[in-house]
Amino acid sequence: MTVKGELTAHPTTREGHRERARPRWKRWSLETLTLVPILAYLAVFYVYPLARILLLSVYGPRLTFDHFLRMVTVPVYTQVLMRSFRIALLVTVLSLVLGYPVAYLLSTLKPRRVALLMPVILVPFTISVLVRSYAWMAILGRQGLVNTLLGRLGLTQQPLEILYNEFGVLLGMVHILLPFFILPAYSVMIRIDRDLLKAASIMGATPARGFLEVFLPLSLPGIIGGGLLVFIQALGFFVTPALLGGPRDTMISMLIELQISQLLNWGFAAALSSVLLIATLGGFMLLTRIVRVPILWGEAR
Amino acid sequence: MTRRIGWWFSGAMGALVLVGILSGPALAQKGEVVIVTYGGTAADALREAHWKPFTAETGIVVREETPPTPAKVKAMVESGNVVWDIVEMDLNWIISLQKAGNYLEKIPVNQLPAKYVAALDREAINEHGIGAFYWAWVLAYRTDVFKAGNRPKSWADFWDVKRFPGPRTLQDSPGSNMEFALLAAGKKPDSLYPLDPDLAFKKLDEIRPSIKKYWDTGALAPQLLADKEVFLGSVYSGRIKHLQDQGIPVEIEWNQGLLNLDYWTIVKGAKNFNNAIKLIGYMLDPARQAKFAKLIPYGPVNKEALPLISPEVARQLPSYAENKKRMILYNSEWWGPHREELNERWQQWKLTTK
Repeated sequence: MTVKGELTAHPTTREGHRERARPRWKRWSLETLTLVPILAYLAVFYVYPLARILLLSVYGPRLTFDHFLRMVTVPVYTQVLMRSFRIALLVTVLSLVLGYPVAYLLSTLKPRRVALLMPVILVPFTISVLVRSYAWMAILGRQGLVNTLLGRLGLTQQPLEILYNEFGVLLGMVHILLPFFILPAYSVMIRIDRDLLKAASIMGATPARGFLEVFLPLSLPGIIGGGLLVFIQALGFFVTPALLGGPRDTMISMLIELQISQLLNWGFAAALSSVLLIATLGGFMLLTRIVRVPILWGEAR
Repeated sequence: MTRRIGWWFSGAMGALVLVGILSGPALAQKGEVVIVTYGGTAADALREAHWKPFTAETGIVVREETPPTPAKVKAMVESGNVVWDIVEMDLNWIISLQKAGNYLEKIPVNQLPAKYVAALDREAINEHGIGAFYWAWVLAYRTDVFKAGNRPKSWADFWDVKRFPGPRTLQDSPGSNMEFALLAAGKKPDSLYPLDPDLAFKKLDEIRPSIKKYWDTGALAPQLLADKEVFLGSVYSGRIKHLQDQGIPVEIEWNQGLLNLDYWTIVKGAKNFNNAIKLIGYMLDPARQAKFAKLIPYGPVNKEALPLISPEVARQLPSYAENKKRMILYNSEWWGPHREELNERWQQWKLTTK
């Protein structure tokens, strides 16, 4: 449950011993058996389609690398890819800055209060992204809620340009993706033993130092987990930037959609998707070099 | 005893399921047809004018689905699981699909009622589709911003940001925008095609700073006008009446509009091919087309339908003679081989800062 577990190293040494005594194949067969359904599911609905997409990007009607060549030689594709990464990164940073204090606050509250506050975070989940994006259009427009209010109060002479540009895109995307940061961060934070902070202050640390050197590092798995969830989803966002964005806010997903549903060039669409996938995985790998990502999988608590 | 009841019960349920599975397709073959449209008010009008009386007369159930996408047609045919029969699409998509492979049935025109076919406009008969209705890209503007006497009448006016200042919208697509740019540059309508891409994009550069948003779904353009986010823009002609009915001060300029039409196509291997032909033939009836046009301002393809419509309603239709002669027919054949390349150029152009 807490860091205490870590301090006592392996509490189940006896268990571990007994396990070692059992033949390896027996353990294996039992474990794999429980994994069969989920592996079969993944193979059918995930691995197979993904393999088909990768194949489609280089094959059809015969082996060709034309699609990838086109992506490199025509600048628009790399430009849009870079833009998508930039937007995704900004959304992730904003979600972190806004979501971290919320998660922290939630983790300090009593369960009953949390039960009251959680719906506020979760209810927007149940509303479609399309509806929420249109709602933002009503709020941010020239004659929208914000501009009308500012105008009436005499704070602005002209309507603020806060829609159909990058600001609108960021606002809309952060609004939708914020829960994906808050929830993992919260789930990590509630498991942090607050006695450690008390210990830090007994040792003479100021609250700020205690937070920076004790709480923050311990909450890192939540930050990384939540950040990755937000980043990866933001990279593939389609509806929100299409509706709230300006003339230049093209995301790679829009180009993929154009190729699939309008131009019927599925090979090229598959190549674009593959590059997006590879770039995402590459970013993930890079991250594993910087921080110890295994903590994500719950190794350390 | 209880166990035996359990067995009996599950046996009965199994039999029921089996009957369901066996009779499902059998029923489907007898009496239904699946039609795919964009839904919304257009589908309401189609249902009222065509589908309801069709089911009443023939007993064939019309099942509706939305929206049509050529990608889905392609996927269905390739996977061998064709669940759509009739699909609404424009000629661009017909050309794209037939270029990519063979995804649409040929329309056996001789199986359609001859008297209706004889009254069809020439462009409404295609090898793989029969005209559904006319629509158009037109210039629309706010009448509270541009008062009588000073209203945009052409694409040259749209490009004139001194006389007609204010934010604008265009579609997020090279199609239509390039035509409008060339018209603004002074190209004559009858020598518009083949399009001159270099000149078009040069002209588009001029208007770029005034374009606030490129709309990608047909609903966005009227929304932008209604919210006064833009003062003028290109819109689908059928979307403006709805705004006017709500009292929003917008008007259409038909001059130099780009006329296009949607077709009814049949997916290759459609399960209800015969019913599909029956329904397509049924929808060509002039009286019913007139009723449809009264419900929503899209133009009938059957020439005999127009005299049945009152002048006030007819004036709002793209195929109304007065409107039609001021417009230019969109040339899908020219676009066919150029679409991919020009879409790429369009995307690149949008990103460029100037």
